[in-house]
Amino acid sequence: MKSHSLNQLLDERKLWRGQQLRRSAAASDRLSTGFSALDNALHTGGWPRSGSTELLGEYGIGELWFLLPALREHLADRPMAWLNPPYLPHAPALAAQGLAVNKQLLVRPKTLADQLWAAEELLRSGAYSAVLSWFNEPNLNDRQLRRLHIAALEGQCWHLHFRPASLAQQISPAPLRLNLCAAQQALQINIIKQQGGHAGQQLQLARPAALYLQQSAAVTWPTYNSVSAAKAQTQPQALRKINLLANTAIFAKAAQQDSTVRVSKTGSNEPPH
Amino acid sequence: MLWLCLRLPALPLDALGAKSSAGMLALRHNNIIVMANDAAQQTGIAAGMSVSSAMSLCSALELRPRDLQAEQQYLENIALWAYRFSGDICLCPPNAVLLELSASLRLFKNLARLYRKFISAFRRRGLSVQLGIAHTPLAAELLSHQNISPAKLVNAAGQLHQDELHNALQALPIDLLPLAPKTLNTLREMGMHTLGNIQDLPRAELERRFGKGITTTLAKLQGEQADIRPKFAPPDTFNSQRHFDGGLHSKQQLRFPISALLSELEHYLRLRQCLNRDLQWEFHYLDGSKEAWSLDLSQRHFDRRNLIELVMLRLEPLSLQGAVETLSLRCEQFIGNEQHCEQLFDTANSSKQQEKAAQVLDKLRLRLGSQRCHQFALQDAHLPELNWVLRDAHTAPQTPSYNKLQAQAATPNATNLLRPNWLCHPPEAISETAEGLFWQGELHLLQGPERFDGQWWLQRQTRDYYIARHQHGALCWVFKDCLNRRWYLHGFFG
Repeated sequence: MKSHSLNQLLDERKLWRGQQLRRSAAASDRLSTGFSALDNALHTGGWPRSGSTELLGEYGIGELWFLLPALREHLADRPMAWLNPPYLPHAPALAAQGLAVNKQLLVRPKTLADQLWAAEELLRSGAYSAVLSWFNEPNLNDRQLRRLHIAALEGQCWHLHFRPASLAQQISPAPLRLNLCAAQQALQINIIKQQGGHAGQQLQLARPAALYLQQSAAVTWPTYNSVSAAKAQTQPQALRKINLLANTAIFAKAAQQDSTVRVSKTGSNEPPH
Repeated sequence: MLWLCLRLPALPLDALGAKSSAGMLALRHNNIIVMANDAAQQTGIAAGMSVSSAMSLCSALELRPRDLQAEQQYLENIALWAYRFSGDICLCPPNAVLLELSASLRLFKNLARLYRKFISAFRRRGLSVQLGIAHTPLAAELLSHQNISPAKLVNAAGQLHQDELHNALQALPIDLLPLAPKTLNTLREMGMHTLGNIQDLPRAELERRFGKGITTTLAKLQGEQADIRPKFAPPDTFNSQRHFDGGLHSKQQLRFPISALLSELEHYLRLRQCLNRDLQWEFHYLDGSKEAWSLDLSQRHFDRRNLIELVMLRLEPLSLQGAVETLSLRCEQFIGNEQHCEQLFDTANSSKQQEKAAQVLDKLRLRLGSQRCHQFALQDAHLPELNWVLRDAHTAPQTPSYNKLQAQAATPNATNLLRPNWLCHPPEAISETAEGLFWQGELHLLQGPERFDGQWWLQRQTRDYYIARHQHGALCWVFKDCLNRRWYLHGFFG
C-alpha cells in the first residue's frame, strides 16, 4: 500500500529522485577532476562544466594544483582568465604544468564594482572556458553571487570563485562548494554543498611528495674519508654550513626525524653548487 | 554595354543642404546667379541673372556663395553610394555619375528592380534625379538631360530598344553636344538643330569643315570609337560627419548620429572589403572648440550594434563641454578582410570564439584601461621574476609553430623542477626572530637550498631558495639573499 502511494506521487511528478538527477547530470555535464577519490566523492562524477564553484580556503595549500588537470582540459577548448588574483600566477611554472601561457588572460580591476562587472562580462561572453576570480570584498551578497552564477551558466563558463574559509557557513547560490585546508602533506577537501545528493564528504588528496621532502642536516651527509687531503678541506666547509643553517634552527629537527634511507635520496636531490 | 547616367540638376543646392529650407535662396558665383530654389524661381529669379537685378526683383532673397568643393564632395558621395550597384563608375562633373550596368544585371535579377532601388533611394533623400540610359557613356550622359524614362528605351532584361533609342538620340538638341561654342554656333546658323540633322551629313565633309573633334564625338556617341573614362575608386580613408543645427546637448542624443555614421562606415567597409582598426571621433562645439577622442579596435568582424555599445561605453567618462554642432568620424587604419579558410570540423567554432574574446577584451580595455588587462609571455631568463613578462592583452592571431615551440620548451622541465604556482612580486620581506623565520606566522624550512646566481652583468643576484612550510600548512618558496643576508618570501606552492 505504501509503495503504491509512493509510485503515485512519482507518477504525478511532484517528487523526483536525487539519483535520477545525478545520472542525468553525470551524463551531460561533467569533467573528470583527475583524482579518482574526488571523482567518487562528487555525485556528478567530476567538475561541472559551467556555473559557479566556490573554493574556500587559504593560498598556498595546493588550491591551484588540484585544479590543474581540469584546467588543462578546459584550455584545450578556450582560453581562461584570472580575475584579480591575490598574487601573480607564475606563468613559467604553470606552463611547465601544461597551461599554455598565451591562453591566459590576467585582469586586475581596481574597485569592487569594476571587478564584478568584469567578472560578469568574462563569464557571459562565452569566449572563456574558465574564470578564476577573487574579489576585494569577499563577502558578496546573494544577489551578486547569483548573477555571477547565472552569467557563468549562460556563457558556458566554469567560474572558480575563491573565498576565505570564514564564509563557509554563509548561504551561497553556487551549486558546488568546497572547503580546502592543509593537512599533513595533503590537501584536505570538505564538500560543503553539492548537487545530486548529500554533502559532507571529506577526503584528502596527497600532494606531490617532492614538495614535502625533508632534508637531512648537513652533518649526516656522506663524506669521503678516503682522501685525507680532501677531508681537511671539507671539514671547515661543512662546519660553516652547519653554522649557517643552525641559526635557522630547522636542520637539527630534521635530523631527528629522518631515517638513514632519506640521506641517500637527498644526496642526489641536492643541486650542485 | 549598358550605361546609366544619374544626373542631379540641383546639385549645387543639395550640396549645401539648403534645398529644404522654405525661404527664397539663390546661389551666386562671381556676381551671377547660378541657381535659385523653387520659391525664388516663382518670383522670377533665374540662373544667369546678375546679383543686383535679382535683388531688385526680390529684396528678401537670401544669397549664398556657391561651394564647388562641397559639390565635388557630394558627387563623390553619390558615386560611393552607387559603387554598391556597379564596379564601373565614372564621375562626370559637374553633376552626373555614370554606371555600367550590364555586369550587375545578373546580381540584381532585372533592371526594373534596380531602377526602383535608385528611385526610392533618391526620393528618400529628397533629391531630384534625371536618368539616362544608352549603349555608350556619352549617349547616356546626353539623354539624361532630357530625362527620358528608361522604361521606354530598355526592357527588363536589359536589352535596348534600338529604334526608340535611335529616335531619342536623333531628337536631342545640338546644344548638349560637348563641342566648341563656335562650332555649335556655325551648326545652328546652318539650320541644324537636332543631333539627327548632323548625323545625316557625311562624316568626311564634317571633319573637313569643323575639325576632328566633331567626328570623334559622333563616333563615341555611336559606340564606334571607345570612350575611355577614368574609373571611380573609393577613397583610402573614411571620413564623414554630421551637422546639427543648434547643437546637441546630451550624450543620449548623440547615439542616433553615431549609429548613422557607423552604418555609413559599414557600407564603406563592405565596398572596400576591409576592416577598420580605429575610430577617430571629433566633436566640434558651437563655440568653435574641438575635442577629439579615439577608439582602437581589435575586432575581426564589423558588428554595428556591438560597436555602438562600445562607443557609448567610451563616451561615458567624457563630459561634453557644450553643445555639439558637428560630429565627425575618421578611419585611417584598415586591414584586409580575413578570408578564414573553414575546415570541416571545429575551426569555424574557434574563429567565432576568438571573435567573442576580442569583443570582451575591447570592452574590458575600454572600461578598465589597457594597463589592467594582461597576457603572459615567457622569457629566457634565470631569475624567477624575470622569466616572464606581462604584455598588454591583445588578440593577435596565434602562430601555431610558436605555440608548439613553447610547448616543447615547457615539457622537459616539468618533472624535475619545483616552482611555485603563485609568485609574490615584488618579494615580501620575512622577519627573522629568535624562534626562526616569521611571516604572518612561523615558517619551517623543509628543503633547499637551490642556488640562483645570475645577472652578474647588471647587479649580481645570489639567492638560496628553500621550500618552507607555513604555520597554517601552506608551502612557501622563500629565499635568502646571500648578498644582504635577508630572507624574502617569493611565492606559494598553490
